[in-house]
Amino acid sequence: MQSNEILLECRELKKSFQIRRRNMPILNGLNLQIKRGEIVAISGKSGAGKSTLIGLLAGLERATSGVIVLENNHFDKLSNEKLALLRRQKIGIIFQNFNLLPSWTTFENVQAALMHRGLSQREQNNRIEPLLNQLGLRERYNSLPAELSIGEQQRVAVARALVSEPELILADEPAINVDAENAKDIINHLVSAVRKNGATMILATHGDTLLNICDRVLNLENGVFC
Amino acid sequence: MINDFWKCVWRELWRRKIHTTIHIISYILAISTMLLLISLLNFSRRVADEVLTNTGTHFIVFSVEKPCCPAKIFPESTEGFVAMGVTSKLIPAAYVENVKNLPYVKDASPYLSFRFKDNTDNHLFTIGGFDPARPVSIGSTSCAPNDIVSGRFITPQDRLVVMLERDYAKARGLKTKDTLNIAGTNFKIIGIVAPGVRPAKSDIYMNINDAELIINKRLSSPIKNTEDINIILVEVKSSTLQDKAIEEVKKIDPQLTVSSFACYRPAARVIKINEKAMWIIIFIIVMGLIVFSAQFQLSSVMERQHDIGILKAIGWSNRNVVKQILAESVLQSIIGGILGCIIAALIIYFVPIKEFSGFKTEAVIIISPIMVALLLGLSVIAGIIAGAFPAIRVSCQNPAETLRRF
Repeated sequence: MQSNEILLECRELKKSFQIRRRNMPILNGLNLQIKRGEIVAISGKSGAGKSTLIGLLAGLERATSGVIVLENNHFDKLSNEKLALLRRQKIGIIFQNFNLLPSWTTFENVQAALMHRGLSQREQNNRIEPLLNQLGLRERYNSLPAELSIGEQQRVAVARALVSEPELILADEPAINVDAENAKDIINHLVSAVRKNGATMILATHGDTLLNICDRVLNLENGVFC
Repeated sequence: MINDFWKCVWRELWRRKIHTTIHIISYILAISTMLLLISLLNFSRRVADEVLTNTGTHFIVFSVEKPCCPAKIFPESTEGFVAMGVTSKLIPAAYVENVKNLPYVKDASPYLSFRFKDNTDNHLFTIGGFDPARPVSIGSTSCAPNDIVSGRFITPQDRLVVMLERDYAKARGLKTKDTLNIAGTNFKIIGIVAPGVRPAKSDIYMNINDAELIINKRLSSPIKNTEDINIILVEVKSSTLQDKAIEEVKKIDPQLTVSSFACYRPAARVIKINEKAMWIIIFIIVMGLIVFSAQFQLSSVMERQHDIGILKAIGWSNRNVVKQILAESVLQSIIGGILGCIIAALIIYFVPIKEFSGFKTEAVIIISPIMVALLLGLSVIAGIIAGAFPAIRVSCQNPAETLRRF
């Protein structure tokens, strides 16, 4: 359920990369406000900067200039350690190519998001097992990512993002690598979990399939929202 | 939280079995080699001390400058007091106690060494008169009970008995139980000795009182061994104190001459050289271990860059990552160190290294617990150093950049 409270805000956000001594601007003074409980889609063609924006909002990268504030936490004032803590406590990320740990099992990949938080093994199990079961991975606890189908890998990535019950979920093209049926299933599950927990979700997508489930769609073009 | 941490550490080590095994084997080889080298070094030191104890802890003191009473029958150049083959003079017997009381001296005893000319066939022979009640100083300078090849050694109660040096006895066709006439006095031969090279070696050995008796037959002015002697036999507490003891003796009377074979010096020097070489080898092993381990750990971490990037992206802090890498490195070093010590102990226990060394000694090769503790500590330090560099390197990596690269 949405509220009027602003969870995440970006002001004059700029990001550019140095590629072969050339300055490549990606985001050009982007402004954004996301309310708590919103599901927002960021659409745009490939190369528009969606993944870059997701990376900035997750605190994985530093902006070239501008401000990102998540619940009164100014990213530019936080150290890398504090940003990591913020990700651990408040943010769940679903990467475009899943980024599962190849030598860890399904269970362990999801467990990685709960480690170093002071939870006992039982508490971790109580969170992980129901989630995996809901996502149809009951028989796949001990499977390695290479032994899973693409759809199953995507579900594991979703489970990892949701298991810590984050306040903000960032999903970068969550349905791009899976078939339509799996995509629908995964997205329904995501949305259901987000709504249930009162979390906020930002989806980066270049297709139209996800747009109808979102509260708002923002189109990223030339480094700004239009 | 601690469980999560160690669970991850064990998991990484277990899943990369080959890598972990090779890494641990490197520690096993290094630690076991160092422990073996150090144990052998200690063993050789103890054996060397044993050898040096008999090889350079004694000398004799005499004088070639003081005037002496002349021999009665033959000219002094033929008969007379001798030391190390040269004519020597009498010195006060009180010097014996002075020498004995020096801090570096274990024992000192009086000795009379006189060259006789045989009345019957004019052959020259030396007699050595010693105090059998003071075996410490005579043993290494003159003759000792374990030099006996037949018969027995002179005891303090024995009088009018002699022991003959083996080659002299052979040349003269004498054996135990024969009777020998020296300066008109009959002596029973009770033993044959083979003392080898000694500073106060003689042809015939007897009690000092018996020696005094027959020497006085050749002197115009008789001597008393409680007042005058011509040699002091000295045993030093340790071969490394030999030089200091000699210096102190010379201070008693500047006219005294000291004779030592100084054989301990080259032996001690060689042992020092070997020790230095061993320590250099050990140092090289330690450096090699650290470099190899660091390189190995770095390559392992670089292989896991993507994994580490993912973990940092989902919220693992740099501290968690660094601790994990360090813990993996230290755990491998501890396991390798312990196994290395066990293997070294098994080698020492089951392999007859002592026999291979050629040393005939009662000393055994032992592994010092202190050395084990030090080497385990060194192993841990090596593990920390080897893990630190790769840990710091990955902690500086930007997770987004790492994920983009892979």
